[in-house]
Amino acid sequence: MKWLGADKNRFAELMRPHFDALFAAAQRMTRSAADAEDLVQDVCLKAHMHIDELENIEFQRAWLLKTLYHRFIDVQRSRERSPVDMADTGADSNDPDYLERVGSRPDDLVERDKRLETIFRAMEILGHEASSLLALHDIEGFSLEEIRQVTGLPEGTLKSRLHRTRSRLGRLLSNQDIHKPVLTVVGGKK
Amino acid sequence: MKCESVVEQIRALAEGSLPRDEKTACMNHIAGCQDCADALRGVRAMLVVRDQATVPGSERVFNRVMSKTSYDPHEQASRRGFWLGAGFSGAIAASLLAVAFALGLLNSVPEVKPQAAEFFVSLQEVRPMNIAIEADRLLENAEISILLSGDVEIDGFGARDQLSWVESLEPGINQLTLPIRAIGARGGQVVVRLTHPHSEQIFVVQLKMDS
Repeated sequence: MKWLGADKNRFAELMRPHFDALFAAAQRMTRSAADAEDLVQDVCLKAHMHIDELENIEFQRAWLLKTLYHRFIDVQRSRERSPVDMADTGADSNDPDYLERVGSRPDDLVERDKRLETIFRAMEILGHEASSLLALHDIEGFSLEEIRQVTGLPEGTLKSRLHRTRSRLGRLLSNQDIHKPVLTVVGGKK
Repeated sequence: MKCESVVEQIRALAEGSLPRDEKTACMNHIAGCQDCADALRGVRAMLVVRDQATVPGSERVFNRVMSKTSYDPHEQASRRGFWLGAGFSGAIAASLLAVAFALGLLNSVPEVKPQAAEFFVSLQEVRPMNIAIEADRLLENAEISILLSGDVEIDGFGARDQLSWVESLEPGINQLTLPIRAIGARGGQVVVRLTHPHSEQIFVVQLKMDS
């Protein structure tokens, strides 16, 4: 474990150029400024542990965002397992100041949140690697060449995976079963 | 037109920025290709996510995240109230975990025998887990390491699952307080490892969900 108490400035300088992009991506995924801050903090903790590696990466922002999307999927999964209904924890949806800032009406937000919940559920099903590839390319706008430098995968592989993942996401979203909880038979006669 | 060409154009198509001729060719292909039609639906979903309004991160948020991330562990552990040193109030003493551990005589008993206890965590609140560390003499530069696993976290430390810092243990009972939060239904485990030259103690706390 490496601690950087004496290197706060070094880490802050590394993160500052990417912070707004990370915070915006986190808000898009969590729809809450408070949850976004937690998510970004988790990413920073991981970045902090890999600072030497990160300093030598050309596309630091892609690395950070990839980490953010991975962490988001983990958080989604832990919420799925949680007996507590986390749907109400997006407190900003009820915060008038937040609504004014993002310029949306509550009704619109409810509809949009439902749509986004479905998309995020589908991304969770797709898994870490597929979801982050899709997000980096189609949400964040990174080119396949830039993603190649972060993942180390050949561009042709990334291209075919991107197409496959987009198609799979589209199929998941057209499947109404995604909205229903999964039931598993654990006993009894057939 | 083939699927490979559509892969490169489909985002521009979904954004409405594809030139007219290319758009027509692309749409003709998609009309007869279920795979590409699904892909278009997938890209449109990603654009829904992309187009959400966000508020910029302020300097205050940046500083807050940085202060929680890059820190001096000794300073942070003390500042956050993890380490309360020797002596504590009766109310806190009553809430200490029943199992305390002692370093015993230095230069002896190299074998490490983990001791264990249970602590109940909750999804609804952060609970302070108080651990007593008994030292039979002043032990300077003892290293305290915390290893966390399962659906739990130390409040304010997010995904960080390891903490380590150096403390001086006073003779008698020293108190360590960790604010523990459940983040899932499985519970977890905290391993507290105390090392000093020629001596080591491991204390395992099983974290169970409060029903």
